Amino acid sequence: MSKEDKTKKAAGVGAWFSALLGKSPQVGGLVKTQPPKTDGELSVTDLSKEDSVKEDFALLGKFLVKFKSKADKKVAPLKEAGSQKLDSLVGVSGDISDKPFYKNLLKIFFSVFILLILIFVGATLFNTLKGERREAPVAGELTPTPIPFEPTAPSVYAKDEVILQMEEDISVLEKELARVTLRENNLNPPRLDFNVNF
Amino acid sequence: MPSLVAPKILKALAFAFLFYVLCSMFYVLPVWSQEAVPAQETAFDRQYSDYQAQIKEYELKHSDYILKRSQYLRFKTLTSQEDAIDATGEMLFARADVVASYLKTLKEKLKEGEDIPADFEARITVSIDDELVWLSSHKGETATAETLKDLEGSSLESSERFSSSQNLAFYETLSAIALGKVLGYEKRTQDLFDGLKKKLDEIRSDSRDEYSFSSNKFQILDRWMFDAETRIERSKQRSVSVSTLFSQKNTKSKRTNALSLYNQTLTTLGQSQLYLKEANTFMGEVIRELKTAEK
Repeated sequence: MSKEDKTKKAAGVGAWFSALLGKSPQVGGLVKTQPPKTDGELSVTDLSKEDSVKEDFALLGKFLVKFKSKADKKVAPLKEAGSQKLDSLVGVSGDISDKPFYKNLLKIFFSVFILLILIFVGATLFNTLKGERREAPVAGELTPTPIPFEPTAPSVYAKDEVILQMEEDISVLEKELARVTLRENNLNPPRLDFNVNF
Repeated sequence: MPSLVAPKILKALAFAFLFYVLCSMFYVLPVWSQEAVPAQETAFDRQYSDYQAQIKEYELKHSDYILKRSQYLRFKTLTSQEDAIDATGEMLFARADVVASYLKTLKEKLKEGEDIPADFEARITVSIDDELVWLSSHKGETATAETLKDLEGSSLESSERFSSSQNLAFYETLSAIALGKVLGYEKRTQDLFDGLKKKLDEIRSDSRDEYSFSSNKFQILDRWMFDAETRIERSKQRSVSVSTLFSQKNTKSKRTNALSLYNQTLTTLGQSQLYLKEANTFMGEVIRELKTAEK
């Protein structure tokens, strides 16, 4: 790309930027190319005349440059000291990580760790889905199938005296048979001492 | 004025007291009427109480005997020997009384059992009486004992009798009582079964529409009746096997193994009891079917 092309392109960008700011593009030259009135001093007044936003940008840039230079001056010694400490602390691990065996080991460890996390997430997801699948039949089982009610009408013998008497006798006998104990627990032979010797 | 108020207050108090007494009586009276009438004491109950008293008496005499014996073995004096002879004699007497009382209690219990076969009851009663006679004569022999050696011999004789023929009498009686219970239930079940069978035959022969059942219903009823009859038969088989066990010869092994025979008897009779329970359940099903109309 030739120098002329570059200037053309820059001029195009400037024109676009001017248009964006609502200014009519300057014909036959760039703002940048205009020589400043005094050296090292930005013509703020001139700029302010042109646009206040441009002025703000210029002030911000100035402030940032000043701030950076001051910060660099203050941070430089601290940065130096910190880097020295960090080197001393990481020295051992750095040595270890430099070795290919430990590098591989670390790689394997992290791979396994990530794999485990993936398995855990997968299993949790699977269980959740499985649980959801199971819930549906359980909900169905909770409601038992109602037994169809079959009404039974009493026969003519339902109030027959003989039948009723027999029913009572059978019931009584059945209960007695369930309760009776054949072993006479209170009549076990007495425990006596027959070991009489002197 | 105060002289008029005071009698009024007194009257009110008296009325309140009377009201309270009446209310209390009405409250208490129903409780009095609900008091249970004490059951009439049977011969068995009286004999059982006597048996319990004999046991307590024996325990006292036995502890005295233990004390005197230890004193004699320690001091070996003439006085301690005489004391030991007296205490041992009294303990042997009390022990014989306990055995006699126990046998009498068993005899009373045997009498209470209504369904015990007569021949068993007679045989057991005779054996109990024999033991009572033996105990009586043995007490006489013990009374004549003068030395500790004599008393030892008397006790040994009594011990042998207790573990053989008396032992058999105990467990035979207990077995007969259990057999009597099962036979009673068997009889009642059989009576109910016969009555139900008779009623079924009546229903079967009734030709009126609303009083008769279909053949399908009768098939169900007959099946329940057949099952009930089978259970009664099985129960009878078990009770007969127990009776056979009783009629075995009075051998020495039978006398010494009386307890195991008793346990065997109880097991067999327990099976019989279960069969009877089932038979009653099946008869209950027959009744339920009879009371239900056909669809």
